Amino acid sequence: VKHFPWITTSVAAAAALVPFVAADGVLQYDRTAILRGEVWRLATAHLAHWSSDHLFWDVVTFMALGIVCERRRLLFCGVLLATALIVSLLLLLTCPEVALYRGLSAIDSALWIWAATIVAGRRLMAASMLVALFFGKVLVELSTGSSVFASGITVLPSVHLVGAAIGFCGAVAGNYTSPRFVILRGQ
Amino acid sequence: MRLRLVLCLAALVALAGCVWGPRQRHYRSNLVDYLYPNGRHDKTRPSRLQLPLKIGLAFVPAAPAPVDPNAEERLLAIVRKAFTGRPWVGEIHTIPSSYLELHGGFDNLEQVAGLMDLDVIALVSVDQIQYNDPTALSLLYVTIVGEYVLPGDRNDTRTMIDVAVVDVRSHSFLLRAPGTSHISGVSTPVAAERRLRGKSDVGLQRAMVDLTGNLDREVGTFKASVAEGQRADVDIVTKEGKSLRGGGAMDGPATVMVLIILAAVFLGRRKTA
Repeated sequence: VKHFPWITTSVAAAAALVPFVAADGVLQYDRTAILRGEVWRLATAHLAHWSSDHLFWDVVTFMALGIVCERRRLLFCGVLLATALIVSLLLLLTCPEVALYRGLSAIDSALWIWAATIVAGRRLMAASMLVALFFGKVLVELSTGSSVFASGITVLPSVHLVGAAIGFCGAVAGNYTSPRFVILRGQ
Repeated sequence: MRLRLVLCLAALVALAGCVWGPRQRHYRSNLVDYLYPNGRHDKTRPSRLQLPLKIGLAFVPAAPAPVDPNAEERLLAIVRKAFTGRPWVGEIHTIPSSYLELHGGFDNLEQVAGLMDLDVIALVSVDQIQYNDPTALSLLYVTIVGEYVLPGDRNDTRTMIDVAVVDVRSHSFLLRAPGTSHISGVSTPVAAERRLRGKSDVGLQRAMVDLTGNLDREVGTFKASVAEGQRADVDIVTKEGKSLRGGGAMDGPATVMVLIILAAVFLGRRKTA
């Protein structure tokens, strides 16, 4: 029970419930609504999705990566929240052309890179493959402007890169504050 | 003497009733009959609307035609004028009804859309009923002269116009908007037919004007429903090629590969341990 990924499960369940409880888009990133004062959308936009395909792949990836990354819960929560807010704020400040946004994938990207650093401690080859796969996916998105399964939306590769950067910072912070690193630093 | 007079009057009233009794005319074009002949219903695909849209306007073909071919262009011009200059509209073309076949379905629409390079077609269906009823004054028609000079017929023209906008490529129904009008008046029996034809035209024009306001509102509602994700089957793509709906998405193949790598690392480690 102690090692059960409660936060991952809760966030995944919340994302899965959104189509049933808030189907009218009240949680999505809506630039006009946010500027009108509906600031909760900055955080909740990542739980909303455009279609069942979009939701399915985002949540499956989140579950897999969350199980790997959810070791230190405070840090995990911090990375999730920081990714959600930073990505939304960057969209608000630098991408005025993005009127609406939904999707958990920015957070998935953060966890992807974080998971790669965790895997690197055990299998460097596997970690390299994860990182290569991530950047390969971003390159495909940059070149095609869409995703294979989530059709009907414009995929924004920049949010994946921002998420990955935050995930990397989370991994560094995790290593820097880990008990093993603190002991090594003390020596 | 009095009895003879009453009988004569009764006979005249009966005769007048036979000649100038209530009349009704009904013009109707049916969108469903046109789009889905023989009850056939095509499966729709997700719709991707590239802005600015190239729109076609046409009356749904029907027999007899509810709208005079000469009036068609003029009536459709009311809608075209209302939407010219909107940022989401690229071009608006009126489609002559001779281009559309009775019960032509989407095959016919695709041919016309291909010919005129259109993205969506707004199909106007008409339901118009005209009543012509005699009034107490029509008793005097028996004088023959009365038929020419006494406006003893009351007429009523009720028109309902319905515009359904369909995406030709995906066969998706996008939105609909109604327009209604009701006009009434009186006429002499001799002029009744001419008056009814005139009222039919005026009724259609007024319904078209009513329709433009409703259509504007329905377009707003439609855009909002796409933005809110309620119309998951429809996507709107801006001039720059960006969908109105932004998002981050994980691909199936990438997710499966991540799962395989993580499983290999962590399950493999557990076996080794």
